[in-house]
Amino acid sequence: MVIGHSFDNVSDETLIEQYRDGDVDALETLLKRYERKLFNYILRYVGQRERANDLLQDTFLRVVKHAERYDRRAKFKTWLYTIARNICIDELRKDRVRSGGVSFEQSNSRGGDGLAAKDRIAGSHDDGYKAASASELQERLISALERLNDKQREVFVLRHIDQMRFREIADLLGTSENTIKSRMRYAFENLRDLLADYASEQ
Amino acid sequence: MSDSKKDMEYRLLDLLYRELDEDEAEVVRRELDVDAELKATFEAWRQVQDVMDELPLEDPDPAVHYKILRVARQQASSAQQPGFFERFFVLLQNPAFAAFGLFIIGGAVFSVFKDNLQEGDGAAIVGQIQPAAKPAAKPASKLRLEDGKKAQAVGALKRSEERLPPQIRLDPAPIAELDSPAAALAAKAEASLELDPPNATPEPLKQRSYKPSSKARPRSKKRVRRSKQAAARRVPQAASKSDPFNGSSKGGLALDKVFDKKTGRRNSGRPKFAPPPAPSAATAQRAGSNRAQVDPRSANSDRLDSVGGAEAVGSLDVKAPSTRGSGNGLEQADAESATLGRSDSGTSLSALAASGTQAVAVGQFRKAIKIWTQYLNDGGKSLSGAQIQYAYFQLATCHQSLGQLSAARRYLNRLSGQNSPYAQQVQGMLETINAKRRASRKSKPTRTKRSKKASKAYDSKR
Repeated sequence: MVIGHSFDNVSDETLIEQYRDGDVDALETLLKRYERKLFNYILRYVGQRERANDLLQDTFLRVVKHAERYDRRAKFKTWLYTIARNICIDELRKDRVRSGGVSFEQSNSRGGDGLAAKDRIAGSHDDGYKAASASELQERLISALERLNDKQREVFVLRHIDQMRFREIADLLGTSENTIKSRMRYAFENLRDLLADYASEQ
Repeated sequence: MSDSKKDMEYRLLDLLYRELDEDEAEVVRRELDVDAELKATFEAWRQVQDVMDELPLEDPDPAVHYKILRVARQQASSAQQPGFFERFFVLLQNPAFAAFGLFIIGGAVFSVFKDNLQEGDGAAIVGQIQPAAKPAAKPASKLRLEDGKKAQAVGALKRSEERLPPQIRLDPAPIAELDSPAAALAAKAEASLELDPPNATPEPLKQRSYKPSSKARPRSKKRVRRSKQAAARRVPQAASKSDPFNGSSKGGLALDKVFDKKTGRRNSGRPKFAPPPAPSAATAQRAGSNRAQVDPRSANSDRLDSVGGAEAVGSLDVKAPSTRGSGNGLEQADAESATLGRSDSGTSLSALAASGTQAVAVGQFRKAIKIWTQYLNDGGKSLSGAQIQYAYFQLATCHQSLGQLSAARRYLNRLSGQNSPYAQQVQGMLETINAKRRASRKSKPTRTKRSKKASKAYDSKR
């Protein structure tokens, strides 16, 4: 029993069960825990901020709608990311049909909406040198990330940004842990090449 | 790349993201110290990791957060609303609703078994005299052995008798009477002897337990009423040929009322208006012989007369009309009610008859109507034709006194048969009612006449 709605030490699985029992605060806690990470995962997947917002909303609304179906034996985090991933895949499939067979990689390399990576970085305002250099760095990083292939980028984002363990990523993507590590290794190699000059400066 | 190198690189990733426990991490670090190439790879990855830490984490639109929460609240509130069955079960737990449900179920069960239960009461009443009636059935079985055809007829009667309600099943004497009047007389005399032996202590009541047949269809009121009406149409023919009060002493009916002589099947309804004829010579002889055999000292002879025959009711019927408005109506009502109700069992009927007659006598006509209606309902099949006629006459009198002419006329029409003991009075009352009706029609001009007048006036004005 959670007293005073202090959900800090409560597991995700307990929280979703409490929401199933009608406690909306439990869902709010889950939302606070995952909305930012999940938004970045979706953003890296679809490459467009507005669309990422819509897909984040769709993801959580699906959680709300199908909370009864959640099986406690599965990890909530894995369930949540599976929903988000499936929504992203459906969205990109529709986008591919709409754009007449343009691949995800092509649309992603253009930024989807045709904007440069710099323009898609939050808070990218040209207010002084520091901000400019920071935004330049971020642009490069995003650009480097977008150059990775889908599988490598996905694994890298899940591990590096969303802090999922390799085992969890393997469960989420339905493959072996070694396969995930292999993709991660390739992602590191590619990023090292892409960011070689910057890394050497560091 | 060799498998060992691959595995080592995978472990480097684990070390990079701190997924190794301390011991394993120490082992990998020692490996790095030994293998320079592996250490270079690890350093390069760590630099990439450090650079990628600069990758900004973007925040979603706050509106999305609130929209999700709003939808979640709606979903939770709708999920908390109970469904139909949940609400129904909650309602069931309410004591008032449960009591109401029990009342409805009880009422339904009672209405279904009401008619059968009434028959069961009759069986219980008849159970008192059933042992006395049993020996009288013996001649019928003897007859069956003597003659094949007669035995068949009697057998059919016996079989139909088994299907009869218990209060009609009592009197075996008429079965014998069909075949041999002499044997029937003997049987009746024997039955009368056993019915009321002098100085005999009454046996405790044997109530037959009533078990409604599972196959039997519960009879609705409508169905019962129809069957009664059908029986009433059939019975008067048979009733006119025989003494309608033969079996009334035991609460039963005459056999020719009970069975159709042609078909040998049971007449399910009660005889509606069996006229109370004057006691025949045979009846008088029977009564006389009974009296002689039963009690030479004539200790119970008066009771035998009043209980066993129709004479008492017949005499009552003649007196009945005079109760209205008479000064000594109460005493008369007591005297009449003693014979109106069934003497053997119907104390409640007797009480009803007494109170009904009393109500008429004191001018409480509405109350009297209720009482006599209840009398007819409660009496049901056990009432004799004369009793029913008397009740109808009382009802007609009450309705006429209240000015309810059509209702009074309805009852009077039922009593206007040739054999009715009330024929003259009924005729007089009907004439009075018709005269009143005619007078009321003449006094009120009809709407059409007035409208014609009005239209004529309107035309003349134009």
